[in-house]
Amino acid sequence: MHNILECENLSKHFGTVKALDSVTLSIPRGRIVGLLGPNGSGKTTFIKICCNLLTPTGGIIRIGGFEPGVDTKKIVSYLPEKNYLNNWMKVSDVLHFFKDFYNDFNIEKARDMLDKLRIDANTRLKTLSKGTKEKVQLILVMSREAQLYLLDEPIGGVDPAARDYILETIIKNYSENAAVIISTHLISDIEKILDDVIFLKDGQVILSKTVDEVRDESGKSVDALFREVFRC
Amino acid sequence: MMPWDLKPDRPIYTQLIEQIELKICSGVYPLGSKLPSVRDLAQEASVNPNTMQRALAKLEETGLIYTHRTSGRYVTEDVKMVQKVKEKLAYELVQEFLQNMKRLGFDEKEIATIIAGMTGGAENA
Amino acid sequence: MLGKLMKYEIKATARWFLPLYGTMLIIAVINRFTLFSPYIEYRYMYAEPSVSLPGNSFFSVIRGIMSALMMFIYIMMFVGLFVATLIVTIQRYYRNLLGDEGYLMFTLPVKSWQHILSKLLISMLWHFLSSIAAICSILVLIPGEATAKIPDVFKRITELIGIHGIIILVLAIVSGLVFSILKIYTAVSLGHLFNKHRLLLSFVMYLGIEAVSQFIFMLLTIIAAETVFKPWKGISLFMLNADQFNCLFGIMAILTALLSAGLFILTGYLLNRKLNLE
Repeated sequence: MHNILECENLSKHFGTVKALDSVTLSIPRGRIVGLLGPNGSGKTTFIKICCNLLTPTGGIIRIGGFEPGVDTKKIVSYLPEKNYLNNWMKVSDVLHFFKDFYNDFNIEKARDMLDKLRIDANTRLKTLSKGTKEKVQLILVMSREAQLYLLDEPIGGVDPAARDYILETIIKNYSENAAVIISTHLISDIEKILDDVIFLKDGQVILSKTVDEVRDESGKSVDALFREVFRC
Repeated sequence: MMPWDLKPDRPIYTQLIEQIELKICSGVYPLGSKLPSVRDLAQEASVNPNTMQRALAKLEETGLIYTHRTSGRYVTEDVKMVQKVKEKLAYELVQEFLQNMKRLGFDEKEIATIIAGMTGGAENA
Repeated sequence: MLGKLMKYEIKATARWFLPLYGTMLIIAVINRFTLFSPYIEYRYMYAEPSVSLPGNSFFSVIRGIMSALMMFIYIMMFVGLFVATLIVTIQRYYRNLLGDEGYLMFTLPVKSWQHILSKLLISMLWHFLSSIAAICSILVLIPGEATAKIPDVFKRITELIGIHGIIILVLAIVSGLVFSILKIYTAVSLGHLFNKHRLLLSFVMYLGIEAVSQFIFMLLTIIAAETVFKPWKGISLFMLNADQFNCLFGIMAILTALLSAGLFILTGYLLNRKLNLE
């Protein structure tokens, strides 16, 4: 299947608020896509629907041919914005947890990445700093050999060196079989690693192009175009 | 190690083509040498592997790079071709320089004088 | 998958309960051998007059106070155990499924009902073990003649209501336990539907569910009293014979099981379609 994700007229309402309004997208495998938009534009809502953490109000969405559910959870790897690991486990416990539940979890790869960052697998999550915990979460997500990676603000609250590490990891992890969707508002940092960008405004797609198309057609970087389009 | 200089307002893949040409001409990737893999190059340049792939494919079309069956990509051994590319790059650099100088208000004679003075190539100062 | 969830559920909760049980048993053992234990009091009060402990009336007053204190501590411990079991049940559901950890749990390739069932089963396990721990600590405290009497108690009960009776009684207790835990889960899931004050609203929902289930029970009791139990009019609970007893508890067990099934389905639906993690 060429497209890993397909959605048609996808909508999500919270009462009267339209978080997503008739979104139609196709995301082919092997692409790294930036889902860009200001706060409240629907990026997180879209990602949560892909993860089956929210139920759409309308429209259809399919990942790998399946509707969001147990079958999609097997092939989707999600990095939420927040800290979602419990505190009492040790890093090694979490590794085994992931290995237990996910068939595509590559524990060796995870151990390797932790080693390189000099994170001791025996430490309790409780004792790690916020930044280190985020790195652990990223390592867990990227160590899965998934078909769709959903990264919600992966470089948000992180220092520049860590940001570089994260972007490097995403490139290194690249697979022709998988797509990566990165939702962020820190565009200039990640622009170079994106294939495609999607601008989301008030729950609607207002632009969907490749990065090079944007630069070619507007003579600007995606970051500059974003600032222009979403000027307050 | 020559860092990859990628500007934000021009398409990335065209810049990658230029940067690779530059590296070939300046000997960072010597004639006939094996290039790093697409993934390694992409990592080095901090760009999307697809974009790097596109740039390399373009370069293959020109013949500056060729793929050797299963062992990867190599720089051409054709000295003349590389020389041509070098000249093309030189031409573009000088073009840009002349444009900028003219914007400052210098005419061609003045430009030549300044160059002579700075390079010490002419007999007269 | 269910087994794996249960495994992690046990790992997450054992760290609270095992130390608690350990502490209780240690306190029980300590008390067993101290002078001012209720056991000694018992021996002193009910044993033969030849057993005489030293002291005047002042001493016996002190001993009286100390044994009352020990009793108090015991009761507090049991209350504490009960409260702890309740809190852990609520917390595991509230925090692990509907808090930040929910992002981890609900992205696992696992069905919602498996989450509910794994937590339900392990909570039941801890309720069971807590009861055992409580009983054990009492047994440690009152050894000897008292423990010898226990098999007699069982024999008497078996005589009264038969093996069927015991099975039905156990089923009724288990149903009741399942029902009480599911009431909590459903209440928390209903509270989760709102955006603010979720914990408070969960509590309100619990009261609501409690009220509705009481009403249903009352309704069914009235119906039953007018139909099935009409011939029994005027008989008190203690005068029931084995069959009547089994019938009564059997019906209660089935009723509770049905309501529990209803709650399970409702909670499953809420987690599937109405999930909205912050």
